[in-house]
Amino acid sequence: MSLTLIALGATVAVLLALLVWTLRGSERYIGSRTVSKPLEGSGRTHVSFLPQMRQALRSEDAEFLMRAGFSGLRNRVRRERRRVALLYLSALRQDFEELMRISRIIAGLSPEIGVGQELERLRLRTSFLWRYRIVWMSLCAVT
Amino acid sequence: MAGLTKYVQWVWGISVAVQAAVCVVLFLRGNFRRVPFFTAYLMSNVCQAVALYVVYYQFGYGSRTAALIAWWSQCIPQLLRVLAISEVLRLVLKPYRGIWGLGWRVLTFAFSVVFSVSLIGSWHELSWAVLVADRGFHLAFGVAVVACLLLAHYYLIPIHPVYKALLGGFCFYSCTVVLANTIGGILFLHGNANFQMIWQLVTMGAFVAVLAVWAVTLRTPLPEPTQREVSPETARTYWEMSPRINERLRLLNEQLDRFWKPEATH
Repeated sequence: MSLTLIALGATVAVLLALLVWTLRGSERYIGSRTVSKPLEGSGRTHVSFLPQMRQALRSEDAEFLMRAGFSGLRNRVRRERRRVALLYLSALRQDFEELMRISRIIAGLSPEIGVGQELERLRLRTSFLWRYRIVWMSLCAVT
Repeated sequence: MAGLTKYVQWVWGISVAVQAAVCVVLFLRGNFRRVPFFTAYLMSNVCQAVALYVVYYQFGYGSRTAALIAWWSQCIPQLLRVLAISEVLRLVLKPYRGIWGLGWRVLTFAFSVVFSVSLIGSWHELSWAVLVADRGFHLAFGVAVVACLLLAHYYLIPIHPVYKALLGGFCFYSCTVVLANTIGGILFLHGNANFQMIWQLVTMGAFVAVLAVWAVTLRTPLPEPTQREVSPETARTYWEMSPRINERLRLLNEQLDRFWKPEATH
């Protein structure tokens, strides 16, 4: 019986937390139902810098500086590059969220919506956020 | 009325008085026209309380007849409760036809699944069946309401503060009943003599608190139902854009995957 109490207590706590979160959060969306930029431009603003970002994160430059004896400079370069990488990551997320926002507004205006499409979008968002967290933590962990 | 403690009788009386006050507010402000099922739910609660008072007076609080009438009379307010919450959710989501179509499916699915799961095993002990059914009903109710609110939050749908108070109140009360039924059951198993009084005070106290919030918020006139022109063009836009957006989201996912390769960290 105490197990039932723990399980139900946890469920109720989660339900109440979600209730407060949903009821408090919905106010910020009033008046924000406008699409700020066309779909063609959305979601690819920052992603086009991916090759440069990957180049910046490669280890060759750091190894060269290390071999040349500039260890202080090497550390500074690594710190700067990590900062830029984190900024890039956050910009990617902004692109993603902007696309999500557009999709929700379109769904809100439509008299019918496809459950498959919506579930697929939810899956993509979960997957993106999961990867985003992993990459973010990995970047933060790099010394 | 022997068997009902003085405190319980007081809270019961307060509860009936506040329900009557909420009904008066609903009629004075004209809000009963917007939420007829909600008004009927409150009125049925008041009628049930009066009827139970007569039954307890006539047959005694502890009699089997009174207990049977009390449980069976719960059916009407519970049914009206379901209709009232569906009514409020419909008022919130109806202007968004596509999302309302998804919303009522979510509501039905969440309610059926949680209610069925929570009833599993209840038939082994018949004495627990009513308690478990009541708890299951409230749990299913809470989950369904939160699921619909999550849907509204996800699709950036604004909710009027009065509807927020109604939905929040229903959900909070259901959560309290779930916990009260569980704790009441444990106290009963441990032979606590006051388990019934504790259960009654907790559930009625929570309901009075919710009613007080409703009485205050319902003084505001409810908004006119939004009538939005829906052209077939918007549906076509959705079916055209949605796959394209999903494709773009998939590409962003892939880019994020490619961004992070083991060699990039060294």
